[in-house]
Amino acid sequence: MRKLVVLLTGILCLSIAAWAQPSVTLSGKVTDSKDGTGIPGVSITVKGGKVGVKSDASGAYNITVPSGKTVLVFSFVGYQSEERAIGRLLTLDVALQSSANDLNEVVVTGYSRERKGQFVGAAAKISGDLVATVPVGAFDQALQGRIPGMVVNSGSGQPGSSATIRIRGVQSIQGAGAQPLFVIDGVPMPAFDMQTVNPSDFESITVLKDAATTAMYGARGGTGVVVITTKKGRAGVTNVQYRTQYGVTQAPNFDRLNLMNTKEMLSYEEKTKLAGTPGWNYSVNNPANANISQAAKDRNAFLLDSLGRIDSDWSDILFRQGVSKSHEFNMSAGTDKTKVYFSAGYFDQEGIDLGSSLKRFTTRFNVDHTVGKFNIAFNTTLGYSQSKFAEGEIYGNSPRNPFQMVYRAKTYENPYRADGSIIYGANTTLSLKQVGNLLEGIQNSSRDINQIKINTGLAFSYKIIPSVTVKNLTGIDVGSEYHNRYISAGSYIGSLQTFQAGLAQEASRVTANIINTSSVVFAKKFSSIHDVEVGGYFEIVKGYQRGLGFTLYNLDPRLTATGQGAGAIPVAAGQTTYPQNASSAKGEYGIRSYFASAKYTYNNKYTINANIRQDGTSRIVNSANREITTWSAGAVWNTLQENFMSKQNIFTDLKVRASYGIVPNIGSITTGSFGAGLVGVTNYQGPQLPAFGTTSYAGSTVVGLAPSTPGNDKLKIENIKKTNIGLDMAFLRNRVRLSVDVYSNRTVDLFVSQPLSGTTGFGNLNVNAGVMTNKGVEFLAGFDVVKTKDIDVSLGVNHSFNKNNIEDLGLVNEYFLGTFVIRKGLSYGSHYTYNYLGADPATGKPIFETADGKTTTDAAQAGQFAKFGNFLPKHVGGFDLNARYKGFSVQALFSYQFDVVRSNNTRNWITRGTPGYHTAVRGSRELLTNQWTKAGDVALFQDYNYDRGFTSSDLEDAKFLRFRNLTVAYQIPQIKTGSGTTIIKSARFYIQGQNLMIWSPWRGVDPEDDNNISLNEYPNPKAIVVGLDINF
Amino acid sequence: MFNYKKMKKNNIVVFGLACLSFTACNKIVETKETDAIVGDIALKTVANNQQGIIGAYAAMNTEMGILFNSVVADEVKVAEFYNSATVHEWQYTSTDITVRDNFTAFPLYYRIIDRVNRVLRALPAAVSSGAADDALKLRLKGEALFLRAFCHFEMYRYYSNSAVASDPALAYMEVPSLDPYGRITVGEYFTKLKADLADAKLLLPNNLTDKYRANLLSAAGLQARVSLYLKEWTAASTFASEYITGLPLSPIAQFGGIWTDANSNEVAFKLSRTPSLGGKIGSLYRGTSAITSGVLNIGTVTWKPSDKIWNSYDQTNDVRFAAYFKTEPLLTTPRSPRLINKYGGTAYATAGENVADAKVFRTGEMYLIRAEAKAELNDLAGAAADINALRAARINLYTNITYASKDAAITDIMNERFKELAYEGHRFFDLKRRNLPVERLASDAPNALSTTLPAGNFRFLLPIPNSEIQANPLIKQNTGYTN
Repeated sequence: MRKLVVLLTGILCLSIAAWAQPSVTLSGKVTDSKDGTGIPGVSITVKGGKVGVKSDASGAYNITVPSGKTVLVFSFVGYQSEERAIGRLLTLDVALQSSANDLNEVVVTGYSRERKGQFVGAAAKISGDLVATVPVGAFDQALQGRIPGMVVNSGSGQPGSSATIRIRGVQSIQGAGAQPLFVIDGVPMPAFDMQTVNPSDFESITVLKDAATTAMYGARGGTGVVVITTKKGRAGVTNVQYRTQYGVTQAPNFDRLNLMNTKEMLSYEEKTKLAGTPGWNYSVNNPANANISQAAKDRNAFLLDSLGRIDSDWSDILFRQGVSKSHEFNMSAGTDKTKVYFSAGYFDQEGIDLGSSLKRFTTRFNVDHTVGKFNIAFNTTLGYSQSKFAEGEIYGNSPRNPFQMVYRAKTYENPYRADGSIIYGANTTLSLKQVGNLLEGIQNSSRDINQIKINTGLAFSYKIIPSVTVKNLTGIDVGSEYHNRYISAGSYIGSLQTFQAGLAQEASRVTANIINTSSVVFAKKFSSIHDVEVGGYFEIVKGYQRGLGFTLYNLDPRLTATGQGAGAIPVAAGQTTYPQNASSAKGEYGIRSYFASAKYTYNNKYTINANIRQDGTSRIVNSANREITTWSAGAVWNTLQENFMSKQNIFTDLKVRASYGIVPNIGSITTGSFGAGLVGVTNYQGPQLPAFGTTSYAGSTVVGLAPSTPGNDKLKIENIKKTNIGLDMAFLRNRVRLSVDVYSNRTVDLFVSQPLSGTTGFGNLNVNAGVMTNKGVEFLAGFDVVKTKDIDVSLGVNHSFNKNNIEDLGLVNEYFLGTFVIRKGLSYGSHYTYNYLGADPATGKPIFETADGKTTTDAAQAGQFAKFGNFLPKHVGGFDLNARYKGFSVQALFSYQFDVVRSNNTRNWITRGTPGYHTAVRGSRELLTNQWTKAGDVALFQDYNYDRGFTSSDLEDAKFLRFRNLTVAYQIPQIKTGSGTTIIKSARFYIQGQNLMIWSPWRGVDPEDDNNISLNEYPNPKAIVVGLDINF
Repeated sequence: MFNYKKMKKNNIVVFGLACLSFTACNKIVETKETDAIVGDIALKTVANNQQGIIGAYAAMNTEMGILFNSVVADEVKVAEFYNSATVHEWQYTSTDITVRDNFTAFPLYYRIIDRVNRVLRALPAAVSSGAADDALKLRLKGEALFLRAFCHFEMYRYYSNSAVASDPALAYMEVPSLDPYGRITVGEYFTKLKADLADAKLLLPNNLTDKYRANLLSAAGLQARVSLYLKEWTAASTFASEYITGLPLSPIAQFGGIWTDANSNEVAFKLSRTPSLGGKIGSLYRGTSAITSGVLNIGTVTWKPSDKIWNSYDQTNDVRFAAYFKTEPLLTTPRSPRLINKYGGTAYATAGENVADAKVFRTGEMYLIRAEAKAELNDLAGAAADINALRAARINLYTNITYASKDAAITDIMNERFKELAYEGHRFFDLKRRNLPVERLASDAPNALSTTLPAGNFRFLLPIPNSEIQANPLIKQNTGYTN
């Protein structure tokens, strides 16, 4: 029964008559405080009495209050309960406020909706409203600081770029980057397609974390599941809404880098005798200038003086204020049989980078229709997005990358002529044209991805008898991408391409995922105390990917858009073969699952739940290892239902939950990729198969073929044993709500890149060899400080702590990965490097710690240590403050992370202090005061004659507290004409700021990132928008 | 499958919607990759298998052995850049032989072995397009077996180098495998190795048309070398004779041309090296040069000839001296003018500088093997005849010698090997094989402590690399190394 939609419950309850003894009859309407629409199904009870009614489809109610009773309680799932004194009133209209914290009443796991009282697992739910209006292209960026146990870090400020999400830590080594499964109305959706989905359609977002909750997702849910439900129509309520937003995005502040200005740079170049730089080349102190003519000396002085007057502001030149705007129209309507929701949306955001933007067009159509025993639900979204990518996202570590050049470029370069045209061409250190070339490149090239997105699901259910329902869901998710990279033939950057006349690369990739789930569920309550639900499920998931791509050279310089008119490609002397400039590939996989679920609740006090399933997948090559059987079990104890608790009046909720289970982790199976020009097509079994590549031997014209990967036909699915214990409490009449979860996850058969014996001919192999644990605590609290008709103040806090440990690596004890070491006994992501101890006062040489704890100035003697911390934050959290005075409201969200250390590669470059670096990289001001120059200097940075390389001095505390979001809103009341016709039911006007402020000891642009190292990232912008929602 | 029956009872129709039969369901789980060049597909045809063999040649390398034998023995002395102290001064352990000095035969040779083993596994079923393919198939099998034997022999020289049948050799890999393997005895190892060579000889081309790939004489050359290391003197003599008969000594005037690749006299098998492919052997001793602003800057000299070897030649009459060395007048103080020029390639700062083919077997070596075998068999006259024949082909105005005793003969032959096979990757292995010390002149040693490595010292065998010890629980470290 609990599977019935709550609204339906409300409708059914309308038949309940007001049967109590006559005394006072009161009527009124319950509305949503936000949009003024009536709320059906609200429970209206007399405080201290037994009388209760439900509001009707329009929100209206009638209740007869026994004499002597003075207070009515209005409560409904998803809204804060209201208590109102009756006094002498005959009508009482109440506006209920929806509450993110109270939405927890129903937990949507995707396969079922569970009442919180019977929910054994660990899940966190937020209202879709919290992400709907945040001005980011991919809604997951807005989740930071909202959900305990979930780390949401943005790796790029490119509009539409998704965040990296980790739920309860990194669960795998080889699959460390595996993203949770996203499911929209039961249909999975790739984590990185969020730029083409309109979050304004979301009703709720639920994050499933433990084994019992994710059991229904089996092998796909190993790293957690994010379940999204979209808005549905309501019976008897028609609402038409228009939403719009307009605002700007701004580059962050680069002052944190503390860079030298032109004068300082020129004098530093002179001081450190940087060959080839103007500061030294034109210096009177340069011995090379000692014997030159007076005219040449004058010329040098003139050049130095001229250069010294140029002080380019790169942040201003390379970035812009981007415009962000959106429009949306939606409508919901319904009868007791049919409910619909439609929406159409447009989102357009310019990035702070000169060339980057996202345009998105979406529609959604949700319909739910019930006829007798049949119900059909059809939820569909269509989207089309156009993403224009920043050059920096393409080039990475390159002087073509504005995110690097903003700190790297010397400020005495002037990229513009007086007439505004760009100065570009061959670059030398004495005639810098790097930024000019970068700007010319942006003007004459593009990198676009246009995506068509379909996410649609049709669920058909049939109630054979009241207690048995069969259901089938077919879900289709298709992402069709068109990729384009174009460089104009007539441009300078075009002349640098192969064959010197531009480049056109185009590629197309279609990714389709089909899911079909069939189920039979038996649900019945016996003797009104034994609540039983048993379900059997069969599910097929099939993924397809196909891509093609080609490259054209020698473009027509008269045209500037596509490869149309491209000329022939010249053939080199003696060339006997023609290269193919086009390729194609396909990949597919399947998952087949059988599972069963059972739940029993006794008298609302105790619930036990058990799941068992078998997943089989083609993702595993070895047919003997393709099937995996797992199980989970959980229980919840609703203590308030116990007799001994009936007298207490402290708690309004006190539940203890526990679950244990095994979740396989398909998402962590490493995959390969087939190249198809600009796109890659997933090679699902790749790393398990022995692959070959070509190689050449000068002694033969035959092209050699050599194995490139060993393959591992023994691989099996890694799985995670998850234990969760949770406690939910509420007191002070639900004003204070608290949830605590403690968990311990143990990944076994961990995917490890194990070093191989030389006899195999390979270096390492992905095997199942290790054990990793994640243990942690999560805490979520809500507090309604003040709650009256006119004033509300509430506070929400969440915090989580996760400790990761590599327990075992199989045959080996450690291996290196990037800036960190994978070592038994350490946590994943522990930095591993030399311990730098400053400059030797006598010689200026860098001092390092040796392995046995002594110091040395010989880098070869320096030891490497793993004592500098970890790039994955141990503590993350957020807090929000909500306040309302009548129609005005303020919502503020802060997010924070601490116990996190990242490698500040940017800082390494700007403080490196060696000629090799500072001929090409602008330095930090710290070099002026904290670099050794003469014997006796006590300085952090070594003499410029020596290099210290990458050391502990690059590792910085990346903890931060971020003022993530502020929304100030005014609720405009109903507007009617003089004759009483409603023009608008309600409206909401708001101003919202995102990424407003940040506090951090990090000395780079942004401490937040999705990886271990910072160098070229597209910085996250600050955004400020104004918005208006009108309900008709 | 646990709940299938129960569900079937409830409503089989539901399953029909999703999955018409279990065959269809199984297809879901058995979806295969269609686009990967993997496993059986990669080596499907005979032509593909030839590609596989070329892939093995592409990885072939004698350069590591050339540098290693120079640095660890007495062929070179420190010049302008020195970062191989652990090897040159015999301080190596199982970790820094890998990390700092890069002398790890393990991945290098087993990688080639893996490549040929994959061909050997695929070849029987390889699709042939006719008679030419059928013939090629036999040749490929011969090449694969030869390369497998050659690489195993190289491994043996680094880590085992013992003629005692019960001593540990290494794993002899006959199939591609990801499992760890332990060491087997020298006896077992060479039973397999000799069988491979004998089989290879039946299949390899009996001509010298393509010296960049293995042929019958290469196999004979390797058999001679193997017999020498195993002290099987009669066999050594027989196989060396087979090689010498097939490929006589070079005329003395053409000897220098062998090293500039002007001719390939004496050479049955060499690895092709071009400016763009295969690396520059000459750069092992001296970096490539550059012309900046019209000024020639000769590349950094990392190793120069030891005084010991420099002084061992008749510098006027021995053509080997001119072929192997050079006094460069452009190198002035503080730079030293003495250069190793065996692999000097074309002129300074040209693309072909330091580029030379890697010669694997030469007739000169075969004469030395046969001389040593004859001396061991107490055929002193025969030994002297071989040495005289060799020297006559190298030294103008040479006069024949005779041997008074076996010891005198062996000492002289070893000295001749030092001079003839300098910088060809034999010296240190020879000293170990004969249980001799490394003895450097005081002027050659970087310091007083590194003049002598006593005969029989454990460092005559390289440590099994630590990476191998970590990855392979079955392998045993060589005596003397702690990790």
